[in-house]
Amino acid sequence: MKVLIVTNLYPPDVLGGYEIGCSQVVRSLQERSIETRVLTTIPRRSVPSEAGTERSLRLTDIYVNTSRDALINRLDQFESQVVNSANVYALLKTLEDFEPDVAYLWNLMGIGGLSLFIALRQRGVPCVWHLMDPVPSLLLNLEGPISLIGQATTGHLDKVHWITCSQRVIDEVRASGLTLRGPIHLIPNWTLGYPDSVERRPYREDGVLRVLSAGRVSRDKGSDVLVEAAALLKEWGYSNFSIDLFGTVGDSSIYDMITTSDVGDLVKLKGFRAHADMLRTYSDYDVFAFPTWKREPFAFSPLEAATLGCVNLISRDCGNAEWMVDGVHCLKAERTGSGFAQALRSILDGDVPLEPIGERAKNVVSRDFHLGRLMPKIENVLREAISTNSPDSETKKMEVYHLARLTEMVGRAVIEDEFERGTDSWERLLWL
Amino acid sequence: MKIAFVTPQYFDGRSYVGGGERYPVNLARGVRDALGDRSIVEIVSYGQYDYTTALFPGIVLRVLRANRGSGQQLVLSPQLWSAISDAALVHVHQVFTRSSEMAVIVAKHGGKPVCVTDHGGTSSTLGLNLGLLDLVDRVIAYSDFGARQLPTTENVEVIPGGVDGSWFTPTRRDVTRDRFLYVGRIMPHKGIDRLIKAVPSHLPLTVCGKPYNKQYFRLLVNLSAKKRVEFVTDADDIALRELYRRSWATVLPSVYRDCFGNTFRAPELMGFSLLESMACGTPAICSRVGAMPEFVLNGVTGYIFDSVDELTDLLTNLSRNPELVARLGRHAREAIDSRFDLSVAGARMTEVYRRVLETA
Repeated sequence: MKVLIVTNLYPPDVLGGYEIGCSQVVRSLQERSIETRVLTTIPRRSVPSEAGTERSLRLTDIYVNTSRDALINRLDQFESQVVNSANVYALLKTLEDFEPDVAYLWNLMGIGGLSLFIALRQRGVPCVWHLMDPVPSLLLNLEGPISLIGQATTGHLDKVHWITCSQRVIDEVRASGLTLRGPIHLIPNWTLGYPDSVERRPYREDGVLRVLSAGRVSRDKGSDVLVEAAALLKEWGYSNFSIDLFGTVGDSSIYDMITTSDVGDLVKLKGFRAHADMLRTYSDYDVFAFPTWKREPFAFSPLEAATLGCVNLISRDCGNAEWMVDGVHCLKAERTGSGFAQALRSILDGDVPLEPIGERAKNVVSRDFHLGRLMPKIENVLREAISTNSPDSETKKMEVYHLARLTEMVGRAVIEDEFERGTDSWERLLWL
Repeated sequence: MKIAFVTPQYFDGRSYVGGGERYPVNLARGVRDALGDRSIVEIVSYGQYDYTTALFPGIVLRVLRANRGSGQQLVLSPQLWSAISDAALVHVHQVFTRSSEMAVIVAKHGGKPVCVTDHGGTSSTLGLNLGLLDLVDRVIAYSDFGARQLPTTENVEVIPGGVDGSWFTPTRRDVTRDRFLYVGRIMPHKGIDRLIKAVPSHLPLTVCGKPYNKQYFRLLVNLSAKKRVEFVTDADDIALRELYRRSWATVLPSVYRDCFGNTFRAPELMGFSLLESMACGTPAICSRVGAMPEFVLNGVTGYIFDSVDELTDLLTNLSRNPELVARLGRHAREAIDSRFDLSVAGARMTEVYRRVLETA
């Protein structure tokens, strides 16, 4: 089986778990003697070349560049979501060169993902789309006349095989108005496991409850929830705990909040840690607090923390909560300061013993959420997509590119038309 | 089966009147007649309000409330895809407009077979320059001249005609022919100034159409000062038919270079008013411009002229020779029945659609 992986970013050029997860699956496929080719973007920083990885796509870096000009933003959005004809050309060239049996799609934002997907379908390539975010909805989130292109292409989604890390992602896609008719496979995110030799610190050593959170420090990631929780616990008379926030500070109001809530002695900002360093850190903490953002599909970090016995305290609505049982493998709370404070109070009061939960979670995660255990399922989905592929017809390669190019140029003109205030052009018309 | 016609403007009292808008309606009727009762042709266009109305049995006009583009033109509607999604085939008219470029792209993305027609209203050359015509299944021209204007020869079909010969008919009453007639938009490239110069001062001329250029209209009014020229700007189809029937001939004097010095590459891709006239049994006279000579058989169904003086002679002769007018008119009607009626064009168009659908 030959698998073409298409992803907007790829290690070492990453933003988060989506790309890291992609690379882990690719390595696992290779270990299973499956031939892979990764098609991804020209890296934003210099990276060494790697066999089997083609970094030839152009990225419209909507994650970094935000122009003040509304027209530029709309054009960038169009290029990021709908079409980048140069990327379609690069894809077609790769298809010709590699001749994959199946395309395994990941995050297609930033690379004109919609047209890449359409090009694959037009060329009759079966597609498996791994969702760790509602990417189809994001691609089709278009304003104005350009949205017509998205509307016309939703039929192509019928033939896709979906892998999703949580029901939440599927529900979000459906809530955006899309119908996913192809087979949907719920496969959770994973860990790679860690050596048993890593010694974790005894729970609540010295009577102190050590809590950490990891990820960008900001309100949308729930950092404010934890500051609020700390303030409530202090108000209730608890001081035998600490909350350490690891990650880049993306919201400076958190500093203010810590000061005005007078919890500077309890809540500490620990800064950025590289992924490998972060893994070792979990064993020093009792609880991994994960209020996260409201739409969290399924984060990797709680699983990683769980493999080192760090008990997950997660918000009830996040994707991770679909896979874990409250009180058995984790603790769940409402995504509010009081929700998290009450959960932590239960631990501080001794009502919730951490060690049994930690042990159960460690065992379950190491067994059922280990990538090695999940890979046969992933491989089956890829093979199923190949065996059930029934392309409507195959469009010629240059026609596929031609349509992409036309869409790009006319689409841009339509967007510019929307913003332009021109003079009446009836005089230019020649009628019968 | 549903065939969707997509056109930026539609034939309606509220829209523009002209062959480019009337043609899709006529073609739709011809296609529907050929396909039979179990088919629908839906004409999808744009306006200020959403509405749907049946024009004829099996022919529906669906107007979509549109976004406005540059120059405040009505361009596109978010409902376009839902309007065409259930069509077996999409035929896009006025293809060289932004609106139609997008319609082609949307239809192709939706996997629809696409045919296109240029009616001469070019407001965008982007698609033309990017090879849009190479991406569609068929390009329909209604004249060899029109086909020669296209940058491609592949997938081009020429299907002339499309006039409604059941409405535009010769009269059965005794009617006195008492004028010459021009029908069409009053615009410089129509060369109406030449017609007014050519018509002898004692012979009546009716110029029927809406003015689209104030300066030109003023010029025509001034030229008409000592002549028997009347301007009719609000004729409906009943009045129009009467005018055709009461005329010695209908004249379409279009030009490649107008009186202001502007040049036009393709002023006439067919000449719809000539066909309407012929259907009414009234001879057609045209300049040797564009596609018009393909539709008028010189000396049989009408005349083709090269100069103003030649036109003057033709008009003078016809006004004095009722038998000649009658004979030319009979042959003109025969030509409509055999070649240019909407039923003939519709049947040929339907055959093209069948071939496209078979390949798709």
